[in-house]
Amino acid sequence: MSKIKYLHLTIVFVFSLATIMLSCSKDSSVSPGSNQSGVGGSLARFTVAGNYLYIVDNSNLHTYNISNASTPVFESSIVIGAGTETIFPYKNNLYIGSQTGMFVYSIASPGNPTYLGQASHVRSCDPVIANDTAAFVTLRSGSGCGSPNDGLYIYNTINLFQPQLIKTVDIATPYGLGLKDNVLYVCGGSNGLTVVNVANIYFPQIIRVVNDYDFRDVIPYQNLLICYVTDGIALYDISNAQNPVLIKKINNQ
Amino acid sequence: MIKSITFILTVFFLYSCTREENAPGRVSGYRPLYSQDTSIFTIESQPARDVVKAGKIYVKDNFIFQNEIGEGIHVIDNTNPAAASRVGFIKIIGSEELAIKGNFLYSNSFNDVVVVDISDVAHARVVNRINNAFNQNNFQLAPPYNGYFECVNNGRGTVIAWIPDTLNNPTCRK
Repeated sequence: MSKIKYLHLTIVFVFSLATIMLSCSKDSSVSPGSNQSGVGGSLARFTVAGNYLYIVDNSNLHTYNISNASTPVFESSIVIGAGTETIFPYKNNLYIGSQTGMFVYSIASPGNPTYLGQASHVRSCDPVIANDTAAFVTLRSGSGCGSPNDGLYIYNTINLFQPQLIKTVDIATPYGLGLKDNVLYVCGGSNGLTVVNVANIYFPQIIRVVNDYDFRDVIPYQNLLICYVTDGIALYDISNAQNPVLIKKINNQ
Repeated sequence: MIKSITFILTVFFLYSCTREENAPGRVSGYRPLYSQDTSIFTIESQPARDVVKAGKIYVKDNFIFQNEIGEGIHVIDNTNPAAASRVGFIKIIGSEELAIKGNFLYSNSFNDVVVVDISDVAHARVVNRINNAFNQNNFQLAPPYNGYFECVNNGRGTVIAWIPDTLNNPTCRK
């Protein structure tokens, strides 16, 4: 009886050890220079999600299989509509910003993106990013961009078939934007970088405006906020997401 | 009367834009310059340079990339952000976009999509080019002048300019 008990314990021990070793080796394989994709800004027209490259041009979404990364294989092309500008992947969906609205496509079947829903707005320039429950769009007026009211538009996307506009935040001349946890960074050109707490999307709170530069786009990357500003690249420490601290500015010249 | 003249003129204009039935012999006209025709369009690593027309940004592992609109991609070593600096440039004429998977960078050269091996960013090399896969720049399919021109061959890449030349029996005319 006791022998069987020991045998049982030994099996459990060996199994646990194997599990730990297996999970360790899995972790160590995710290293820099990995086979993963990088991260783009919110103004991108090219994006990689899994083994697929998605490209939006004037009015179409083109899909390429890049399982063999050196040799893209064309999979499909679909019409989105005139004025398509940006593409942002989040989990199983693509969020596409166009001059007439935000479009959501499912990539559950990654080679064949399928239309889920959209939110139309007046003609403007509008990058979009998203998380599990919301999409964040900036609308900017100006040359070639129509004439809406400038601002941050927040959509509830729990029902992706019908994104619902729930809040707008006045931010002048907004360009690109980025999200880390519940903190949104909105580039406002020469009006600075607005840091917004969106933990509750019904009550977004502007925490501060960083007025160091003329901000055009951002990429939150772990604890680093990479900013494309008109006269260079500015790097901020966002260990405390609500309080970006300037680390380095690389000047254009 | 006016209606029939309009009709005749319309037919004439439509016809004049199609391929010629009769060979015109050697005539002055325009020929397309393709994105991959000359060494100007070679994709290669170059020393770091100043940013003149700043474009889109991308981050992968220890590198930040920034597009130089129409010229290529700046490479920034971000291993230590406090000491980050531009360390090189990947020349891709006509480039505005970028994304990366593993060691391969996807960008555009005008309307073509190009795949560049960046396993060593100091020795980038193009490994693939997909002609006319990115219809964003809208380069013209016909010259901005009336007259004969050499018909466009889409298999040769994006048309990025029209060059005046003497053409031998061109079959396209605007």
